[in-house]
Amino acid sequence: MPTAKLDDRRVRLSPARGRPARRWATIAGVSWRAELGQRSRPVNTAIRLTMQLFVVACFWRGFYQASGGAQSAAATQTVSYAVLAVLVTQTGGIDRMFSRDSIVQHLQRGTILYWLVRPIPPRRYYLMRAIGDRAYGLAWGTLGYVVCLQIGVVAVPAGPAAAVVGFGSFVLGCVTLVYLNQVLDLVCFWTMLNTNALNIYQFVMNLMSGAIAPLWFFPDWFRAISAVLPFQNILNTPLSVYVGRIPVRAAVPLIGIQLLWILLLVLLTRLMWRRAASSTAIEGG
Amino acid sequence: MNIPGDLARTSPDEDRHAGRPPGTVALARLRRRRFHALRLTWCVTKVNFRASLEYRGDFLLAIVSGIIWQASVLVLATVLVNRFPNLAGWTKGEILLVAALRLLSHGLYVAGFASLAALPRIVQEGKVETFMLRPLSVYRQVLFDKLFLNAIGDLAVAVTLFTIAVPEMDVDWTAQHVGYLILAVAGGVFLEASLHTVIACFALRSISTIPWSQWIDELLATFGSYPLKIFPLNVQVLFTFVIPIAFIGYVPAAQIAGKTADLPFPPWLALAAPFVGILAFTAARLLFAAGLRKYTGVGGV
Repeated sequence: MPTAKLDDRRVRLSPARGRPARRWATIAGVSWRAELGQRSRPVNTAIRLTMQLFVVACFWRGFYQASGGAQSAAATQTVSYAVLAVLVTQTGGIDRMFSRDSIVQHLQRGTILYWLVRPIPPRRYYLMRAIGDRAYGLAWGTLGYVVCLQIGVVAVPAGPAAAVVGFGSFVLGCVTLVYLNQVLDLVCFWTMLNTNALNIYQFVMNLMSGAIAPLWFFPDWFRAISAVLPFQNILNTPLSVYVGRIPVRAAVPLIGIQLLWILLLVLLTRLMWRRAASSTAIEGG
Repeated sequence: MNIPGDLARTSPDEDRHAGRPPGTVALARLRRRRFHALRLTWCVTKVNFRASLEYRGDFLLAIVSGIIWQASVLVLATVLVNRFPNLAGWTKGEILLVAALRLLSHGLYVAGFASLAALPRIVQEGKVETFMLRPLSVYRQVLFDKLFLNAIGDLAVAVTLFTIAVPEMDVDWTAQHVGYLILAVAGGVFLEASLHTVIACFALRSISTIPWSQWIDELLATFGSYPLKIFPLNVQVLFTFVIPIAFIGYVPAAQIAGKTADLPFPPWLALAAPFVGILAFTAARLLFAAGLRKYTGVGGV
């Protein structure tokens, strides 16, 4: 059958041959190879991360010291929260522009066509690359967490239940982030550019997720807005559970909300991929 | 930069033969070149503006992104000032002045120098080689690469913050204060440009500097907007002498608010704060020129 022959040939030409699991692992490993391929990049990440952790810890300790509450429980919670937030945000996003594999770059060069015609579905390819990115960031984050825990910059979890629920919520937060990023990338299929949309998204996300400052510092109206958006699921919920600001029992409905948002985002991205594939405009080539 | 050479080579003879005071021709030539540079900047800015209008949606998003980013910094500053009142002896108005100075410098920096952060992309696309063949400095061509419209949003938030901060302060706004403020903002622009120029030097060797540019932006936004007195001495030293972001907002605000006793150096140095930016920028430009001489090309499409 001609279709089968075509499929066979596509599989032979595919760079990631072998069993599906191995193929997906190869795709997920692209980010690792791109990052570790240049020795300067991990060194840069290590220097930047160390400096950021140091100044952020000093920043929040400084605020509490200046107001005379350096030894309070609130100070410990805030410093732990801020340091963990740095570990998540600074190690989260691999610079995909560097390896020229972002959707906007492919659209502008016309190479997005290959994503759409090769035997690997583009949605799955994107997902595997995103998982690879997050796994790379997680490796850095784990290393940073262990070091910060050892030197006492981060406090231990509020309890065993808080550790388990906080970790579960953190994983769901990572999934939420992957799908939110995917929505922003897919918008390029219609707008051809997403630099400024990405900037806005990044600022709003940083503010609403609690990356800039813990959400408990903000006024009620701000937290009310944040509660109906998916951003607080990324950082504020898991980290607040970890440091004990949100009791474990109160976290259960929040995890339900996280799952609901993931479901909505999965459905939205499926729809967007389907629409994008049928109306792709190539700008370059 | 061949103006000094021109002065030495042609001016004295031409002036002597024409019976004019020495330096007249050179001065006229310098003025012509300055006028030409201004005209060129205006033309390129117009072209870039029209180019950014090609994508109307992105054009509007650019302005909105500037407003949202700086508004998020403003929200954080307001939240922290209310949560920690009278921070290390600094009043709400004084802290907001630090943030406003930083923000205004940043807005003007974005309007003139933000393309420096795009140098890794320019290198990756092999455009530096093209720039080298044109009769205009590579540095200026990098600055002309794109117009960053989010500067409009940045400046709008900065002006808003000034209007909040100034009435809150107990300062008599004399001509000296206003003059110093203008110089401080100019110094802040050059200081931020110098930090990004140093990163751009590394971008000529390796294109993986984008995270560093983003990191410097975050560092300035987060730590440049508060009195450094709240930090331990080693961090104060870091932000004063290594990554001198203190001279953008904190030091000028301390000078205006009369809090120079809080600074980790003699008070007279606070008066010279605007010149730190100019010195740093000159040094960074020299470094960039040296980097360009050793440029071997790391990209190309």
